[in-house]
Amino acid sequence: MSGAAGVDPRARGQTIGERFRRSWLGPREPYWGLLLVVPILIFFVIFKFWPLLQAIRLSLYDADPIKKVETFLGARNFLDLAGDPLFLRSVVTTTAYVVGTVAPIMVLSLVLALLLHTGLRGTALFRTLIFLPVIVPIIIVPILWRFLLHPYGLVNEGLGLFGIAGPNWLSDKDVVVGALIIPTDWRFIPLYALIYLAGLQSIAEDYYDAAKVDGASAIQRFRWITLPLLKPTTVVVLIASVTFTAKSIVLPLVMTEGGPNNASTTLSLFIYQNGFAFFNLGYASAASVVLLLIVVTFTIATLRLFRTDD
Amino acid sequence: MSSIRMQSRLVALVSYGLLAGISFLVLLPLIWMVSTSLKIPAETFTSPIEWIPSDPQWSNYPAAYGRANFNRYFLNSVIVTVIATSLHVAFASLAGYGLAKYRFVGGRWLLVVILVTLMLPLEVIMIPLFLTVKDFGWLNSYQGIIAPHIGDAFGVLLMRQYFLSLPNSLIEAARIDGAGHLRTFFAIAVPLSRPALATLVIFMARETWDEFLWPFLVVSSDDMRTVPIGIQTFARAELSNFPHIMAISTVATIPLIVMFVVFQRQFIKGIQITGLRE
Repeated sequence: MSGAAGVDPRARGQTIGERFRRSWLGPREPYWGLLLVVPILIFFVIFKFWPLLQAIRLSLYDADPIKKVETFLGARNFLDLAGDPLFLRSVVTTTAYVVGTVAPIMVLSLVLALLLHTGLRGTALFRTLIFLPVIVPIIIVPILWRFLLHPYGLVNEGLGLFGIAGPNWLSDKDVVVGALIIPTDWRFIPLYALIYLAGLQSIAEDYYDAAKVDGASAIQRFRWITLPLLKPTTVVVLIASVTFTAKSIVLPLVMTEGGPNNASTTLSLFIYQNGFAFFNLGYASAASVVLLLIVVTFTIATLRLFRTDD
Repeated sequence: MSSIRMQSRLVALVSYGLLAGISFLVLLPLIWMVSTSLKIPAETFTSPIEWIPSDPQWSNYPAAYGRANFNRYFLNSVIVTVIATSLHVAFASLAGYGLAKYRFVGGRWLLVVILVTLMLPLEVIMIPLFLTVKDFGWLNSYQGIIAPHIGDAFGVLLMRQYFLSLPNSLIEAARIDGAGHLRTFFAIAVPLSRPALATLVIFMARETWDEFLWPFLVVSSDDMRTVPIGIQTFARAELSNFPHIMAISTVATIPLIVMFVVFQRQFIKGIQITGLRE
Protein backbone atom coordinates (compact mmCIF):
# COMPACT_ATOMS: atom_id res chain seq x y z
CA MET A 1 0.00 0.00 0.00
CA SER A 2 3.00 2.24 0.32
CA GLY A 3 4.28 4.64 -2.30
CA ALA A 4 2.00 7.11 -3.98
CA ALA A 5 4.45 6.95 -6.89
CA GLY A 6 3.07 8.29 -10.11
CA VAL A 7 -0.39 8.83 -8.76
CA ASP A 8 -2.19 12.10 -8.99
CA PRO A 9 -2.62 13.01 -5.34
CA ARG A 10 -6.10 14.16 -6.12
CA ALA A 11 -6.98 10.76 -7.48
CA ARG A 12 -9.48 8.88 -5.44
CA GLY A 13 -8.67 5.72 -3.59
CA GLN A 14 -5.84 7.00 -1.42
CA THR A 15 -5.30 5.11 1.78
CA ILE A 16 -5.54 7.00 5.02
CA GLY A 17 -1.79 6.68 5.41
CA GLU A 18 -1.15 8.34 2.06
CA ARG A 19 -3.63 11.05 2.84
CA PHE A 20 -1.86 11.70 6.10
CA ARG A 21 1.54 11.87 4.47
CA ARG A 22 0.26 14.21 1.79
CA SER A 23 -0.70 16.66 4.47
CA TRP A 24 2.99 17.41 4.81
CA LEU A 25 2.84 19.35 1.60
CA GLY A 26 -0.82 20.10 1.51
CA PRO A 27 -2.89 21.83 4.12
CA ARG A 28 -0.03 22.79 6.39
CA GLU A 29 1.55 25.41 4.16
CA PRO A 30 -0.73 25.42 1.15
CA TYR A 31 0.05 29.05 0.29
CA TRP A 32 3.45 27.85 -0.93
CA GLY A 33 1.74 26.23 -3.90
CA LEU A 34 0.18 29.54 -4.85
CA LEU A 35 3.45 31.36 -4.22
CA LEU A 36 5.21 29.17 -6.77
CA VAL A 37 2.59 29.95 -9.41
CA VAL A 38 2.65 33.71 -8.85
CA PRO A 39 5.73 34.63 -10.95
CA ILE A 40 4.36 33.20 -14.19
CA LEU A 41 0.83 34.23 -13.27
CA ILE A 42 1.92 37.88 -13.34
CA PHE A 43 2.95 37.44 -16.96
CA PHE A 44 -0.31 35.71 -17.81
CA VAL A 45 -2.29 38.53 -16.25
CA ILE A 46 -0.41 41.39 -17.89
CA PHE A 47 0.21 39.88 -21.31
CA LYS A 48 -2.77 37.58 -21.82
CA PHE A 49 -5.80 38.27 -19.61
CA TRP A 50 -5.54 42.05 -19.51
CA PRO A 51 -5.20 42.32 -23.32
CA LEU A 52 -8.10 39.90 -23.70
CA LEU A 53 -10.32 42.08 -21.52
CA GLN A 54 -9.14 45.13 -23.44
CA ALA A 55 -10.00 43.47 -26.74
CA ILE A 56 -13.51 42.75 -25.52
CA ARG A 57 -13.88 46.29 -24.13
CA LEU A 58 -12.48 47.97 -27.26
CA SER A 59 -14.86 45.97 -29.45
CA LEU A 60 -17.67 48.06 -27.93
CA TYR A 61 -15.96 51.38 -28.62
CA ASP A 62 -14.85 53.59 -31.43
CA ALA A 63 -11.22 54.06 -30.42
CA ASP A 64 -8.87 56.44 -32.15
CA PRO A 65 -5.27 56.00 -30.94
CA ILE A 66 -4.08 59.28 -32.41
CA LYS A 67 -6.74 61.59 -31.03
CA LYS A 68 -6.97 59.35 -27.96
CA VAL A 69 -10.75 59.52 -28.01
CA GLU A 70 -13.01 56.61 -27.19
CA THR A 71 -16.72 56.67 -27.86
CA PHE A 72 -19.00 53.94 -26.59
CA LEU A 73 -20.89 52.28 -29.41
CA GLY A 74 -22.45 49.21 -27.86
CA ALA A 75 -22.90 46.52 -30.48
CA ARG A 76 -22.46 48.90 -33.40
CA ASN A 77 -19.07 47.50 -34.46
CA PHE A 78 -20.53 44.01 -34.66
CA LEU A 79 -23.51 45.19 -36.68
CA ASP A 80 -21.16 47.04 -39.02
CA LEU A 81 -19.06 43.90 -39.43
CA ALA A 82 -22.17 41.93 -40.37
CA GLY A 83 -22.80 44.39 -43.19
CA ASP A 84 -19.18 44.85 -44.30
CA PRO A 85 -18.52 42.99 -47.58
CA LEU A 86 -14.76 42.97 -46.90
CA PHE A 87 -15.28 41.33 -43.52
CA LEU A 88 -17.74 38.78 -44.88
CA ARG A 89 -15.36 38.04 -47.69
CA SER A 90 -12.51 37.51 -45.23
CA VAL A 91 -14.65 35.00 -43.36
CA VAL A 92 -15.40 33.13 -46.60
CA THR A 93 -11.70 33.22 -47.57
CA THR A 94 -10.68 31.95 -44.15
CA THR A 95 -13.24 29.14 -44.36
CA ALA A 96 -11.98 28.11 -47.81
CA TYR A 97 -8.40 28.26 -46.56
CA VAL A 98 -9.19 26.14 -43.49
CA VAL A 99 -11.20 23.49 -45.35
CA GLY A 100 -8.72 23.33 -48.23
CA THR A 101 -5.81 22.97 -45.83
CA VAL A 102 -7.26 20.64 -43.23
CA ALA A 103 -8.89 18.07 -45.56
CA PRO A 104 -5.54 16.98 -47.06
CA ILE A 105 -3.95 17.09 -43.61
CA MET A 106 -6.48 14.66 -42.13
CA VAL A 107 -5.92 12.12 -44.90
CA LEU A 108 -2.31 12.50 -45.96
CA SER A 109 -0.71 12.93 -42.55
CA LEU A 110 -2.33 9.66 -41.45
CA VAL A 111 -1.14 7.90 -44.62
CA LEU A 112 2.36 9.26 -44.06
CA ALA A 113 2.30 8.16 -40.43
CA LEU A 114 1.21 4.65 -41.45
CA LEU A 115 4.10 4.46 -43.91
CA LEU A 116 6.55 5.61 -41.24
CA HIS A 117 5.07 3.11 -38.79
CA THR A 118 5.75 0.01 -40.89
CA GLY A 119 8.91 -0.61 -38.90
CA LEU A 120 10.93 -1.07 -42.08
CA ARG A 121 14.63 -0.36 -41.80
CA GLY A 122 15.56 3.16 -42.77
CA THR A 123 12.25 4.79 -41.87
CA ALA A 124 14.08 6.92 -39.28
CA LEU A 125 16.00 8.58 -42.11
CA PHE A 126 12.81 9.22 -44.06
CA ARG A 127 11.19 10.62 -40.94
CA THR A 128 14.05 13.10 -40.52
CA LEU A 129 13.95 14.15 -44.18
CA ILE A 130 10.18 14.51 -44.35
CA PHE A 131 10.22 16.57 -41.18
CA LEU A 132 12.57 19.25 -42.59
CA PRO A 133 9.77 21.61 -43.80
CA VAL A 134 8.68 21.90 -40.18
CA ILE A 135 12.18 22.99 -39.14
CA VAL A 136 12.50 25.74 -41.75
CA PRO A 137 11.93 29.13 -40.08
CA ILE A 138 8.30 30.16 -40.52
CA ILE A 139 9.30 33.40 -42.24
CA ILE A 140 11.11 31.45 -44.97
CA VAL A 141 7.85 29.72 -45.97
CA PRO A 142 6.13 32.76 -47.58
CA ILE A 143 9.39 34.09 -49.01
CA LEU A 144 10.37 30.79 -50.61
CA TRP A 145 6.88 29.92 -51.86
CA ARG A 146 6.42 33.30 -53.49
CA PHE A 147 9.13 32.13 -55.89
CA LEU A 148 7.90 28.56 -56.16
CA LEU A 149 4.41 29.80 -57.06
CA HIS A 150 5.76 32.27 -59.61
CA PRO A 151 4.15 31.76 -63.07
CA TYR A 152 7.43 30.14 -64.19
CA GLY A 153 8.27 28.69 -60.78
CA LEU A 154 8.77 25.16 -59.56
CA VAL A 155 5.07 24.39 -59.02
CA ASN A 156 4.01 25.28 -62.54
CA GLU A 157 7.13 23.61 -63.93
CA GLY A 158 6.00 20.45 -62.16
CA LEU A 159 2.42 20.79 -63.41
CA GLY A 160 3.86 21.28 -66.89
CA LEU A 161 5.34 17.78 -66.75
CA PHE A 162 1.75 16.51 -66.69
CA GLY A 163 0.71 18.83 -69.47
CA ILE A 164 -1.14 21.16 -67.12
CA ALA A 165 -0.75 24.88 -67.65
CA GLY A 166 -0.41 26.21 -64.12
CA PRO A 167 -2.22 29.40 -63.19
CA ASN A 168 -0.67 32.62 -62.03
CA TRP A 169 -1.10 31.60 -58.41
CA LEU A 170 -0.45 34.91 -56.70
CA SER A 171 -2.31 37.30 -58.95
CA ASP A 172 -5.39 35.29 -59.93
CA LYS A 173 -8.14 35.91 -57.40
CA ASP A 174 -9.73 32.53 -58.10
CA VAL A 175 -6.68 30.45 -57.16
CA VAL A 176 -4.85 32.63 -54.64
CA VAL A 177 -6.35 30.72 -51.70
CA GLY A 178 -4.69 27.65 -53.23
CA ALA A 179 -1.44 29.58 -53.01
CA LEU A 180 -2.02 29.82 -49.24
CA ILE A 181 -3.06 26.17 -48.93
CA ILE A 182 -0.13 24.51 -50.71
CA PRO A 183 2.67 25.94 -48.52
CA THR A 184 0.62 25.41 -45.37
CA ASP A 185 0.10 21.75 -46.20
CA TRP A 186 3.75 21.39 -47.17
CA ARG A 187 4.73 22.48 -43.69
CA PHE A 188 1.96 20.88 -41.66
CA ILE A 189 1.31 17.46 -43.18
CA PRO A 190 4.73 16.25 -41.94
CA LEU A 191 4.10 17.80 -38.55
CA TYR A 192 0.73 16.14 -38.02
CA ALA A 193 2.12 12.90 -39.44
CA LEU A 194 4.47 12.88 -36.45
CA ILE A 195 1.56 13.36 -34.09
CA TYR A 196 -0.31 10.49 -35.76
CA LEU A 197 2.87 8.44 -35.53
CA ALA A 198 2.93 8.95 -31.76
CA GLY A 199 -0.71 7.83 -31.70
CA LEU A 200 0.06 4.71 -33.74
CA GLN A 201 2.99 3.84 -31.52
CA SER A 202 0.77 3.95 -28.46
CA ILE A 203 -1.55 1.20 -29.77
CA ALA A 204 -0.62 -2.12 -28.18
CA GLU A 205 0.50 -4.88 -30.60
CA ASP A 206 -1.77 -7.36 -28.79
CA TYR A 207 -4.85 -5.99 -30.52
CA TYR A 208 -3.37 -6.71 -33.92
CA ASP A 209 -2.11 -10.14 -32.89
CA ALA A 210 -5.54 -11.08 -31.62
CA ALA A 211 -7.19 -9.82 -34.80
CA LYS A 212 -4.73 -11.75 -36.96
CA VAL A 213 -5.54 -14.95 -35.08
CA ASP A 214 -9.19 -14.28 -35.83
CA GLY A 215 -8.32 -13.92 -39.50
CA ALA A 216 -8.92 -10.19 -39.91
CA SER A 217 -7.47 -8.70 -43.07
CA ALA A 218 -5.14 -5.70 -43.05
CA ILE A 219 -7.98 -3.44 -44.11
CA GLN A 220 -10.29 -4.82 -41.42
CA ARG A 221 -7.56 -4.35 -38.80
CA PHE A 222 -7.13 -0.74 -39.90
CA ARG A 223 -10.88 -0.09 -39.92
CA TRP A 224 -11.75 -1.77 -36.63
CA ILE A 225 -8.59 -1.35 -34.54
CA THR A 226 -6.38 1.46 -35.78
CA LEU A 227 -9.01 4.04 -36.64
CA PRO A 228 -11.09 3.74 -33.44
CA LEU A 229 -7.99 3.75 -31.23
CA LEU A 230 -6.63 6.79 -33.06
CA LYS A 231 -9.73 8.80 -32.26
CA PRO A 232 -8.10 10.93 -29.52
CA THR A 233 -5.19 11.72 -31.87
CA THR A 234 -7.61 12.56 -34.67
CA VAL A 235 -9.43 15.01 -32.41
CA VAL A 236 -6.15 16.69 -31.45
CA VAL A 237 -5.02 16.97 -35.07
CA LEU A 238 -8.39 18.29 -36.19
CA ILE A 239 -8.60 20.95 -33.49
CA ALA A 240 -4.96 21.99 -33.81
CA SER A 241 -4.97 22.23 -37.60
CA VAL A 242 -8.32 24.02 -37.86
CA THR A 243 -7.58 26.58 -35.15
CA PHE A 244 -4.05 27.14 -36.40
CA THR A 245 -5.15 27.71 -39.98
CA ALA A 246 -8.12 29.85 -38.96
CA LYS A 247 -5.92 32.29 -37.05
CA SER A 248 -2.71 32.13 -39.09
CA ILE A 249 -1.46 35.37 -40.56
CA VAL A 250 2.13 34.98 -41.75
CA LEU A 251 1.40 33.66 -45.26
CA PRO A 252 -1.25 36.23 -46.24
CA LEU A 253 0.68 39.01 -44.50
CA VAL A 254 4.06 38.35 -46.13
CA MET A 255 3.36 36.36 -49.30
CA THR A 256 0.17 37.77 -50.81
CA GLU A 257 -0.43 40.84 -48.63
CA GLY A 258 -4.10 40.03 -48.95
CA GLY A 259 -4.09 40.49 -52.69
CA PRO A 260 -5.08 40.46 -55.42
CA ASN A 261 -7.96 42.76 -54.60
CA ASN A 262 -8.41 41.35 -51.06
CA ALA A 263 -8.94 37.83 -52.42
CA SER A 264 -6.49 36.41 -49.85
CA THR A 265 -7.37 38.67 -46.93
CA THR A 266 -8.02 36.22 -44.13
CA LEU A 267 -9.80 37.12 -40.91
CA SER A 268 -6.55 37.69 -39.02
CA LEU A 269 -5.17 39.87 -41.82
CA PHE A 270 -8.42 41.85 -41.75
CA ILE A 271 -7.84 42.43 -38.03
CA TYR A 272 -4.24 43.44 -38.63
CA GLN A 273 -5.11 45.87 -41.42
CA ASN A 274 -7.90 47.54 -39.49
CA GLY A 275 -5.82 47.79 -36.34
CA PHE A 276 -2.33 48.59 -37.54
CA ALA A 277 -2.94 50.23 -40.91
CA PHE A 278 -6.29 52.04 -40.54
CA PHE A 279 -6.15 52.53 -36.73
CA ASN A 280 -9.76 51.38 -36.35
CA LEU A 281 -8.96 49.78 -33.01
CA GLY A 282 -12.54 49.21 -31.95
CA TYR A 283 -13.62 47.74 -35.27
CA ALA A 284 -10.51 45.52 -35.43
CA SER A 285 -11.14 44.37 -31.85
CA ALA A 286 -14.70 43.43 -32.73
CA ALA A 287 -13.31 41.25 -35.53
CA SER A 288 -10.82 39.72 -33.02
CA VAL A 289 -13.69 38.81 -30.74
CA VAL A 290 -15.39 37.09 -33.68
CA LEU A 291 -12.17 35.18 -34.42
CA LEU A 292 -11.90 34.13 -30.79
CA LEU A 293 -15.51 32.98 -30.73
CA ILE A 294 -14.92 30.89 -33.86
CA VAL A 295 -11.81 29.25 -32.39
CA VAL A 296 -13.40 28.56 -28.99
CA THR A 297 -16.71 27.35 -30.42
CA PHE A 298 -14.99 25.01 -32.82
CA THR A 299 -12.73 23.59 -30.12
CA ILE A 300 -15.52 23.00 -27.63
CA ALA A 301 -17.92 21.64 -30.25
CA THR A 302 -15.32 19.18 -31.54
CA LEU A 303 -14.44 18.02 -28.03
CA ARG A 304 -18.14 17.51 -27.27
CA LEU A 305 -18.84 15.75 -30.54
CA PHE A 306 -15.99 13.28 -30.18
CA ARG A 307 -16.22 12.88 -26.45
CA THR A 308 -15.08 9.44 -25.41
CA ASP A 309 -15.95 7.84 -22.14
CA ASP A 310 -12.39 6.82 -21.36
CA MET B 1 4.00 -19.49 -46.52
CA SER B 2 6.02 -18.22 -49.42
CA SER B 3 3.09 -16.23 -50.80
CA ILE B 4 2.81 -14.40 -47.49
CA ARG B 5 6.50 -13.63 -47.66
CA MET B 6 6.10 -12.41 -51.24
CA GLN B 7 3.22 -10.25 -50.16
CA SER B 8 5.12 -8.64 -47.29
CA ARG B 9 8.08 -8.03 -49.61
CA LEU B 10 5.76 -6.29 -52.01
CA VAL B 11 4.27 -4.17 -49.22
CA ALA B 12 7.77 -3.19 -48.10
CA LEU B 13 8.76 -2.29 -51.63
CA VAL B 14 5.68 -0.14 -52.18
CA SER B 15 6.19 1.55 -48.78
CA TYR B 16 9.80 2.35 -49.58
CA GLY B 17 8.80 3.66 -52.98
CA LEU B 18 6.12 5.91 -51.52
CA LEU B 19 8.36 7.17 -48.72
CA ALA B 20 11.17 7.95 -51.14
CA GLY B 21 8.76 9.71 -53.48
CA ILE B 22 7.19 11.77 -50.72
CA SER B 23 10.57 12.71 -49.23
CA PHE B 24 11.75 13.81 -52.64
CA LEU B 25 8.66 15.94 -53.28
CA VAL B 26 8.79 17.49 -49.82
CA LEU B 27 12.47 18.32 -50.14
CA LEU B 28 12.32 19.77 -53.67
CA PRO B 29 11.43 23.30 -52.47
CA LEU B 30 14.45 23.28 -50.15
CA ILE B 31 16.72 21.95 -52.86
CA TRP B 32 15.42 24.72 -55.12
CA MET B 33 16.21 27.24 -52.39
CA VAL B 34 19.84 26.14 -52.11
CA SER B 35 20.25 25.77 -55.85
CA THR B 36 18.87 29.24 -56.54
CA SER B 37 21.08 30.75 -53.87
CA LEU B 38 24.05 29.86 -56.07
CA LYS B 39 22.76 31.38 -59.31
CA ILE B 40 22.81 34.80 -60.91
CA PRO B 41 19.40 36.57 -60.92
CA ALA B 42 18.81 36.00 -64.65
CA GLU B 43 19.06 32.22 -64.18
CA THR B 44 16.38 31.98 -61.51
CA PHE B 45 13.45 30.91 -63.67
CA THR B 46 14.87 28.79 -66.45
CA SER B 47 12.88 25.99 -68.00
CA PRO B 48 13.79 23.23 -67.50
CA ILE B 49 15.14 24.07 -64.07
CA GLU B 50 18.89 23.93 -63.81
CA TRP B 51 19.25 22.13 -60.49
CA ILE B 52 23.02 22.30 -60.34
CA PRO B 53 24.20 25.76 -61.36
CA SER B 54 26.90 25.55 -64.04
CA ASP B 55 28.84 28.33 -62.38
CA PRO B 56 27.95 28.33 -58.65
CA GLN B 57 28.03 31.85 -57.25
CA TRP B 58 29.35 31.18 -53.75
CA SER B 59 29.95 34.90 -53.44
CA ASN B 60 26.17 35.36 -53.16
CA TYR B 61 26.43 34.32 -49.52
CA PRO B 62 28.89 36.93 -48.21
CA ALA B 63 27.38 39.52 -50.56
CA ALA B 64 23.82 38.96 -49.30
CA TYR B 65 24.92 38.70 -45.69
CA GLY B 66 26.78 41.99 -45.97
CA ARG B 67 23.84 43.90 -47.43
CA ALA B 68 22.02 44.13 -44.12
CA ASN B 69 22.93 44.11 -40.47
CA PHE B 70 22.63 40.33 -40.07
CA ASN B 71 25.26 40.05 -37.34
CA ARG B 72 23.11 42.33 -35.26
CA TYR B 73 19.91 40.41 -36.10
CA PHE B 74 21.53 37.13 -35.04
CA LEU B 75 22.78 38.73 -31.84
CA ASN B 76 19.29 40.08 -31.10
CA SER B 77 17.72 36.69 -31.77
CA VAL B 78 20.22 34.99 -29.45
CA ILE B 79 19.58 37.52 -26.67
CA VAL B 80 15.80 37.27 -27.00
CA THR B 81 15.79 33.48 -27.24
CA VAL B 82 18.15 32.90 -24.31
CA ILE B 83 16.38 35.29 -21.93
CA ALA B 84 12.81 34.36 -22.91
CA THR B 85 13.54 30.63 -22.75
CA SER B 86 15.36 30.82 -19.40
CA LEU B 87 12.65 32.88 -17.74
CA HIS B 88 9.85 30.77 -19.17
CA VAL B 89 11.47 27.50 -18.15
CA ALA B 90 12.24 28.78 -14.65
CA PHE B 91 8.78 30.21 -13.97
CA ALA B 92 6.94 27.37 -15.71
CA SER B 93 8.68 24.69 -13.69
CA LEU B 94 8.05 26.55 -10.42
CA ALA B 95 4.38 26.87 -11.33
CA GLY B 96 4.14 23.30 -12.59
CA TYR B 97 5.63 22.09 -9.30
CA GLY B 98 3.27 24.25 -7.27
CA LEU B 99 0.26 22.94 -9.15
CA ALA B 100 1.37 19.31 -9.04
CA LYS B 101 2.62 18.94 -5.49
CA TYR B 102 0.56 21.34 -3.39
CA ARG B 103 -3.12 21.46 -2.73
CA PHE B 104 -4.42 24.96 -2.20
CA VAL B 105 -7.66 26.82 -2.55
CA GLY B 106 -8.15 27.78 -6.20
CA GLY B 107 -5.36 25.52 -7.46
CA ARG B 108 -7.72 23.59 -9.73
CA TRP B 109 -9.20 26.83 -10.95
CA LEU B 110 -5.78 28.32 -11.70
CA LEU B 111 -4.88 25.28 -13.74
CA VAL B 112 -8.04 25.63 -15.83
CA VAL B 113 -7.42 29.34 -16.35
CA ILE B 114 -3.90 28.64 -17.57
CA LEU B 115 -5.12 25.78 -19.77
CA VAL B 116 -7.71 28.01 -21.40
CA THR B 117 -5.03 30.39 -22.71
CA LEU B 118 -4.00 27.65 -25.13
CA MET B 119 -7.13 28.64 -27.05
CA LEU B 120 -6.16 32.32 -27.09
CA PRO B 121 -4.17 33.11 -30.24
CA LEU B 122 -1.83 36.10 -30.38
CA GLU B 123 -3.79 37.26 -33.43
CA VAL B 124 -6.83 37.85 -31.19
CA ILE B 125 -5.06 40.00 -28.62
CA MET B 126 -2.33 41.56 -30.77
CA ILE B 127 -3.89 45.04 -30.78
CA PRO B 128 -4.41 45.49 -27.01
CA LEU B 129 -1.15 43.64 -26.32
CA PHE B 130 0.64 46.08 -28.57
CA LEU B 131 -1.03 49.00 -26.75
CA THR B 132 -0.02 47.56 -23.36
CA VAL B 133 3.62 47.13 -24.37
CA LYS B 134 3.55 50.60 -25.91
CA ASP B 135 2.20 52.07 -22.64
CA PHE B 136 5.17 50.51 -20.87
CA GLY B 137 7.42 52.35 -23.33
CA TRP B 138 8.75 48.97 -24.47
CA LEU B 139 8.44 49.26 -28.25
CA ASN B 140 11.78 48.55 -29.92
CA SER B 141 13.22 46.98 -26.80
CA TYR B 142 14.32 43.51 -25.73
CA GLN B 143 11.87 43.46 -22.84
CA GLY B 144 9.08 44.35 -25.25
CA ILE B 145 9.90 41.40 -27.49
CA ILE B 146 10.54 39.01 -24.61
CA ALA B 147 7.91 39.64 -21.94
CA PRO B 148 4.81 38.35 -23.80
CA HIS B 149 6.61 35.04 -24.49
CA ILE B 150 7.08 34.16 -20.85
CA GLY B 151 3.47 33.50 -19.87
CA ASP B 152 2.99 30.41 -22.00
CA ALA B 153 0.73 27.61 -20.84
CA PHE B 154 2.65 24.86 -22.59
CA GLY B 155 5.59 24.81 -20.18
CA VAL B 156 3.39 24.94 -17.11
CA LEU B 157 1.30 21.99 -18.27
CA LEU B 158 4.31 19.95 -19.38
CA MET B 159 6.15 20.45 -16.09
CA ARG B 160 3.05 19.85 -13.99
CA GLN B 161 2.45 16.59 -15.81
CA TYR B 162 6.02 15.54 -15.20
CA PHE B 163 6.07 16.51 -11.54
CA LEU B 164 2.86 14.58 -10.96
CA SER B 165 4.78 11.46 -11.88
CA LEU B 166 7.51 12.11 -9.31
CA PRO B 167 6.93 10.02 -6.17
CA ASN B 168 5.68 12.16 -3.31
CA SER B 169 7.76 10.07 -0.93
CA LEU B 170 10.97 11.57 -2.30
CA ILE B 171 9.76 15.08 -1.71
CA GLU B 172 8.36 14.26 1.68
CA ALA B 173 11.65 12.66 2.68
CA ALA B 174 13.49 15.85 1.82
CA ARG B 175 10.96 17.90 3.74
CA ILE B 176 11.24 15.67 6.79
CA ASP B 177 15.00 16.06 6.63
CA GLY B 178 14.39 19.76 7.07
CA ALA B 179 14.82 21.08 3.52
CA GLY B 180 12.71 24.16 2.77
CA HIS B 181 10.16 24.32 -0.01
CA LEU B 182 12.51 25.91 -2.53
CA ARG B 183 15.46 23.79 -1.49
CA THR B 184 13.37 20.66 -2.04
CA PHE B 185 12.37 21.95 -5.44
CA PHE B 186 15.90 22.71 -6.58
CA ALA B 187 17.67 19.76 -4.96
CA ILE B 188 15.11 17.01 -5.59
CA ALA B 189 12.51 17.95 -8.19
CA VAL B 190 14.69 19.80 -10.71
CA PRO B 191 17.44 17.18 -11.07
CA LEU B 192 14.84 14.45 -11.48
CA SER B 193 13.00 16.30 -14.22
CA ARG B 194 15.91 16.79 -16.62
CA PRO B 195 14.25 15.03 -19.58
CA ALA B 196 11.15 17.24 -19.33
CA LEU B 197 13.29 20.35 -18.88
CA ALA B 198 15.37 19.46 -21.94
CA THR B 199 12.22 19.02 -24.03
CA LEU B 200 10.85 22.32 -22.79
CA VAL B 201 14.09 24.24 -23.39
CA ILE B 202 14.44 22.97 -26.96
CA PHE B 203 10.79 23.57 -27.72
CA MET B 204 10.64 27.10 -26.33
CA ALA B 205 13.98 28.13 -27.80
CA ARG B 206 12.86 27.06 -31.25
CA GLU B 207 9.50 28.74 -30.85
CA THR B 208 11.01 32.05 -29.68
CA TRP B 209 13.72 32.00 -32.32
CA ASP B 210 11.11 31.40 -35.00
CA GLU B 211 8.50 33.92 -33.82
CA PHE B 212 7.60 36.38 -36.52
CA LEU B 213 4.34 38.20 -35.81
CA TRP B 214 5.12 39.67 -32.39
CA PRO B 215 8.57 41.15 -33.10
CA PHE B 216 7.17 42.30 -36.45
CA LEU B 217 4.62 44.37 -34.52
CA VAL B 218 6.84 45.85 -31.81
CA VAL B 219 10.10 46.37 -33.68
CA SER B 220 10.55 49.17 -36.17
CA SER B 221 14.17 50.17 -35.71
CA ASP B 222 16.83 48.28 -37.61
CA ASP B 223 19.08 47.57 -34.64
CA MET B 224 16.32 45.75 -32.72
CA ARG B 225 15.34 43.37 -35.52
CA THR B 226 15.51 39.65 -34.88
CA VAL B 227 16.51 37.26 -37.67
CA PRO B 228 12.97 36.62 -39.00
CA ILE B 229 12.23 40.35 -39.17
CA GLY B 230 15.62 41.04 -40.73
CA ILE B 231 14.94 38.44 -43.41
CA GLN B 232 11.48 39.78 -44.16
CA THR B 233 12.79 43.34 -44.53
CA PHE B 234 15.68 42.11 -46.63
CA ALA B 235 13.33 40.18 -48.93
CA ARG B 236 11.23 43.30 -49.41
CA ALA B 237 14.22 45.51 -50.11
CA GLU B 238 15.95 43.09 -52.49
CA LEU B 239 12.72 42.24 -54.28
CA SER B 240 14.29 41.12 -57.55
CA ASN B 241 17.57 39.66 -56.34
CA PHE B 242 16.21 36.14 -55.88
CA PRO B 243 19.57 34.42 -55.36
CA HIS B 244 20.47 36.79 -52.52
CA ILE B 245 17.12 36.23 -50.83
CA MET B 246 17.54 32.47 -51.14
CA ALA B 247 21.10 32.68 -49.82
CA ILE B 248 19.93 34.47 -46.69
CA SER B 249 17.03 32.03 -46.32
CA THR B 250 19.50 29.15 -46.48
CA VAL B 251 21.75 30.79 -43.90
CA ALA B 252 18.78 31.20 -41.54
CA THR B 253 17.62 27.61 -42.06
CA ILE B 254 20.92 25.81 -41.47
CA PRO B 255 21.24 26.49 -37.70
CA LEU B 256 17.73 25.13 -37.17
CA ILE B 257 18.43 21.99 -39.17
CA VAL B 258 21.64 21.41 -37.21
CA MET B 259 19.76 21.94 -33.96
CA PHE B 260 17.06 19.53 -35.12
CA VAL B 261 19.51 16.80 -36.06
CA VAL B 262 21.32 17.12 -32.72
CA PHE B 263 18.23 17.34 -30.51
CA GLN B 264 15.86 15.34 -32.65
CA ARG B 265 14.33 13.39 -29.77
CA GLN B 266 13.45 16.44 -27.65
CA PHE B 267 12.24 18.27 -30.71
CA ILE B 268 9.84 15.57 -31.81
CA LYS B 269 8.70 14.94 -28.27
CA GLY B 270 7.89 18.61 -27.74
CA ILE B 271 5.85 18.63 -30.91
CA GLN B 272 4.05 15.40 -30.15
CA ILE B 273 3.18 16.53 -26.63
CA THR B 274 1.80 19.90 -27.58
CA GLY B 275 -0.34 18.64 -30.39
CA LEU B 276 0.78 21.89 -31.67
CA ARG B 277 0.53 25.47 -32.50
CA GLU B 278 3.00 27.56 -34.41
